[in-house]
Amino acid sequence: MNRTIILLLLCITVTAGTVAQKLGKFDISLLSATSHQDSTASAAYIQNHCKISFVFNSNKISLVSEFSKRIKVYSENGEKYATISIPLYQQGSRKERITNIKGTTYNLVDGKVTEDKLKRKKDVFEEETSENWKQVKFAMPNVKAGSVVDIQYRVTSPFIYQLDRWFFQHEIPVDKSIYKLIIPSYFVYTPVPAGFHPTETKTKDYAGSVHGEVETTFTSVNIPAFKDDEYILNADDYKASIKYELYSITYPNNPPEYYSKDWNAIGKDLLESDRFGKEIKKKIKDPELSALLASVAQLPEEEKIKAIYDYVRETYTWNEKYGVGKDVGHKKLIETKTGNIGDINLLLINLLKKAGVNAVPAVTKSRYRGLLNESFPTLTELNYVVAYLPDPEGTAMALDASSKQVPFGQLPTRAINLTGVAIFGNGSQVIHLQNPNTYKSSTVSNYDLNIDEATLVGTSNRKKSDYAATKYRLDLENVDQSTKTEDDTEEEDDSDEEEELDIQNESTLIKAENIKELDQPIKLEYEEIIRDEVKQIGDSYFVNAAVDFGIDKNPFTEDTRKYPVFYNYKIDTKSIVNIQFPEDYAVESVPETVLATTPNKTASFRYEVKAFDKFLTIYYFIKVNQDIFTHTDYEGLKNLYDLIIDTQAEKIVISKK
Amino acid sequence: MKHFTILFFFLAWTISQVQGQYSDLNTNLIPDSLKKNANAVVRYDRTIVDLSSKKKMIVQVEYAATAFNERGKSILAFSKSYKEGSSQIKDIELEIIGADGSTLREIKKKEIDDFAAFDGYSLISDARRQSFGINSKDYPITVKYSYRLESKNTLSIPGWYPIVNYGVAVEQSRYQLIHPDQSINHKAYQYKAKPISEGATTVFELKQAKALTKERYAPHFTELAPHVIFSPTTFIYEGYQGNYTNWQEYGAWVHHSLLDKRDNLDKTLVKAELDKIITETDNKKEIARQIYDYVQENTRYISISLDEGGVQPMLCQDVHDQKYGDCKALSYYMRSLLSLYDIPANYVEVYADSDFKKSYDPTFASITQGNHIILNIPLDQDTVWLDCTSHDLPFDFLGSFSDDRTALIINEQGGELVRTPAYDHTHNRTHYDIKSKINQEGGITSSFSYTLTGVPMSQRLHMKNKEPHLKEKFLKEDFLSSFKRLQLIDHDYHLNESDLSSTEEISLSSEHYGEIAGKYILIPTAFQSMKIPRFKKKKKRRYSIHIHRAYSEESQQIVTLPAGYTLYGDPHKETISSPYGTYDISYELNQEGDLVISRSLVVYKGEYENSDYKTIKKFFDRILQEEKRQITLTLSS
Repeated sequence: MNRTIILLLLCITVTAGTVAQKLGKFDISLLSATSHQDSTASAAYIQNHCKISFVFNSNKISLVSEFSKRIKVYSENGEKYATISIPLYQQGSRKERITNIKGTTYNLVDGKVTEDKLKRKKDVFEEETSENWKQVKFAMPNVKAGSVVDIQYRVTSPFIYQLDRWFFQHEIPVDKSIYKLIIPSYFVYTPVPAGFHPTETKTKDYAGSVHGEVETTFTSVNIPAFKDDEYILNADDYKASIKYELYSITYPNNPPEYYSKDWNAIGKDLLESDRFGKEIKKKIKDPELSALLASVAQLPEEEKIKAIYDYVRETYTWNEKYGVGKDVGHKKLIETKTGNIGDINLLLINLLKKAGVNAVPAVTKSRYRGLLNESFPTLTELNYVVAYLPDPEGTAMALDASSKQVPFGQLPTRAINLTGVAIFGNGSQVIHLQNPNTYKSSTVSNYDLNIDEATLVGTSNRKKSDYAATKYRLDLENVDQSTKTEDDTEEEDDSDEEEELDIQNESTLIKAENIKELDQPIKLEYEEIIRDEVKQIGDSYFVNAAVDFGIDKNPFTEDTRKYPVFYNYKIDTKSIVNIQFPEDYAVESVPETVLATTPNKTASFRYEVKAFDKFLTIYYFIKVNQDIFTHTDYEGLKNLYDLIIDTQAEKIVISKK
Repeated sequence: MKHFTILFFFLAWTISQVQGQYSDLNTNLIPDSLKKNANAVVRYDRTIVDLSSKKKMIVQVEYAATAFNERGKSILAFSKSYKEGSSQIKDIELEIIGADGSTLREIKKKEIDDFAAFDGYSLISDARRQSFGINSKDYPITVKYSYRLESKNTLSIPGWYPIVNYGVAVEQSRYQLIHPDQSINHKAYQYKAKPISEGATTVFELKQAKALTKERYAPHFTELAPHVIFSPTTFIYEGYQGNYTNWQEYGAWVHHSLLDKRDNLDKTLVKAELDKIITETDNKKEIARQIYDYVQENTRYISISLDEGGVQPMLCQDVHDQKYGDCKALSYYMRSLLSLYDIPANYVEVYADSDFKKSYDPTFASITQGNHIILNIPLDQDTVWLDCTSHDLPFDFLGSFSDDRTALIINEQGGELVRTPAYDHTHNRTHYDIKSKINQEGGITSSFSYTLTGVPMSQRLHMKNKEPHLKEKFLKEDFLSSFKRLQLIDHDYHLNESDLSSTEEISLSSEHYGEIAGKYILIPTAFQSMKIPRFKKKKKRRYSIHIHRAYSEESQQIVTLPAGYTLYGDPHKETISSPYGTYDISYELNQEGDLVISRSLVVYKGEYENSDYKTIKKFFDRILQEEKRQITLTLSS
């Protein structure tokens, strides 16, 4: 008797979750509409809904996601929104499946509504793109400007712990979006919102149901299209969205299992795990590593740290895979000398600890994946780990040995996220990693003004330090050997008697020092002929204020900005140019001296020309002292760049006496 | 004693296994001449293509290559595509080897991904790909692999391409063809050595080939690198037999076996639908234009290559119902619609590429020469050419994608070579008509019209359907990017389909256009210099110089000067002529005191000897020098 009732109830639960959010009555006026309220939109989601529910089938629980979309296409460029591509995850025999695919294209032809249905067998394609991923693709039939497309499908997944982030906002406008979750009482989630747009929330209790479901509905309307921007790291951080992070599961008569916790709990789990904490504790048996530890034992602290860092950086090669924990593991890393971020940096932390240095792991997310949200502790977002050396008095330091060109004191750009979590034995702590990288360059050039040709001829010495040197070394790696010009051993071609016409600027590298010495700045010497920065009119020579250096354009063109500005590094560039001219010439006028800073002195610009009897000196310095500017700092930054552009437009005048 | 000896041998054996396992792959053995200008070197590439069995083709490959840097890494990746169902790749062995020749890693079969070959734009494809990428950054690094491909199709025999790219040198490449009982035709390009034939085996070999370096305005890579392509006389494709010895027979087979049955259009029904839209007229070209508009408006181009190399088009009725298809499907569908109005059209195979006008080889028929399908309609007065895949291309215009090259018509009569239309400098024209006003601070306000015909027109077609805010973004960031502090006041784009020209009317204002130099103002001759070929300073030019298309540009500008200002110095006039083109520039004041600047350029199409390099460079440098002039304005005293 009981059994039958239970079975019956199970059946009810199962069927209760099978109807996707209805798309609502079809309004013919929608078909005749030629543009959205946002007239720039090529298409829009009239409705975009998702319903999440759980299905219990004997021992298996499945996560069911039901999608229903109504898309209006306004122009040809919007047609692509009617081609759907759904990624499905699989791990061995556990696979996500898609069913109940329904699609209709509506068009208005001669005042009548036509319908074209999606044919499951003909228009829907499934394709395995890798071991874990499959793509299901379909192109809606007969889509053109003006069409309205209704699409529905259901994804059933055995991976019940991971609910995908639901985006309310997209790059096209969304008129209405409903995200409905029907969650059994056993599962507790933390909602993690992102972006800016108001949403209405309603909850409903399914009184008396077997699994004590609670239904939560998020409704959001009239969401504007999201406009992407160059200076933010990842658009997904800013689009209006919500992610349900699993917090705990408590089955009847069972103790609770916690999943997403606070950083302390996540840190503790990591320290206890094989792939993370145990890697740091591995015994050092490799003879070379043992020799390394022996050789640094007597060194002062800073030298010890640097020696270990340099060794790991030089010996092991990153396999371009990210991960907060190991990939190949300690033994294989030492054997093959190749590993992921976790392998290399966990070994670094291991060695530092064994050498008596106070080093702990700090976990974070790689830079281009977006900012780590410190208020919402999560394990799934983490994909990076660095060695963190706390310093209660001075500045703490982070080390990442995964890039061969990055010396001690700098970090590869990918590792620089605003926020990280340092994991100590007795707890974890949110830390804000400072960007240690500065693009530092200093150029001293000496030119002679050639009166006959109106050119500047001379040499330029460039010193690149800190990240400027690292960047130069990284760029060298990517040089295409097939585009290099032949060296001087090639015979000159005599067959063509024409004399060359030289109109380009010439810059020949005649000396380069310290290219491979990571701890030293790179010194470059160029021989130059600059042809288009001097204009002769009568007896006067007009030299461009910033000669052939300076910035091309102001990178900031909008008047105001919503999001912060992220630079990959701080900037400190100095140019000093000496120009000698003949005795019978003198400096007639120079641009006014400029000394400008942004409010709070976060960036500065200095320009000055000093004139003497036989030569003049141009001083041009730009400094950007921080790598992140808030949107309120933006105006000051934009104005500073405008001032630089205006200064560069001026001329230095050298005339005959 | 015995134990000791065994231990010793064991140790010696394990050491030799680990160290110098492939001593012939030690990178020290690569001669310096091969390292020059090289990102990578192919150590050996041994291919055996066995066509002994008439029913299948077996390809065996042994390959080893060393990369010196990131750029060279791509030739190390193992990536072989094959057709699902009729082909298989077996016996894959892959090792990663260090600079000294010792094995760093052996890759197991399960680590090699086998998944759908996703080419980035196809909706679906039944080509599959076995691949494995190399992740190490520790150079030099060597990869060695071998595999065996078995295919039931013998239509497409892999060609021999010993040099795969610029910057890749080759120590040894060997291709062996086994072909008893049947003759396999071959054609060699840039390969002068005689193949070694012994009975049923033919061998091609290349040794110690230096890396090729890139030069601008040079012949295309495939016109420089040695390679050999093959063609069977009889073959099996998807279970069916076929044969051809020339283009006519090849075309006949394609038409009969692949195209003929694809036209399943319900003619009565579709004609009735079209009759409602098409205005009947005696002018067949007009009807074709209307049908072309109908297809453009009602279908979308989606790449669907469900067939090896995408050989067979979708059924015409499916294209009609689903309103999408790829180039084969849309072209054959268009042909079917034209036939409803008694307009015969030809399905044409062509090699489409804007930078490389590759022609079908009239002396050698084979399957691999094309990559795109277009349509040609032979009418009494002229021939109409259509590319059905682009929604932007106007009627009877191919653009730079498939112009000026030899292609292959395929119809009931078989295959026939045909030349696609060429666009010369009278077609490819750019015209500016500009009115500007300069103020005392060097700022400018300007309104101008920008008219294009021919290939420049087709390269600008993206403006036709762009949303207004994206049009603006393009104009500000791309076309007008030379202006500092640009205010774009107005812009308008219009395409005239009857004379195939596009016109834009743009008005703008900007600060810092003119440079203030004391009491002078310096202005450029134009806000954009004309498109002039640029050549690097070189001691010795290796390759001949190719200018693919002729074009011409004209600009008429009237500039109102700030009050009180006039031209400093004399008016200027210059003409520069050569066998490569002509250029004219002049600027002077007119009666109203405005500055009139006229410029015009014609660049001819041509192929020139490398010994002419300096002369050609100087000619174009002189033009650039004129273009870069600054015109000086001064206060009239």
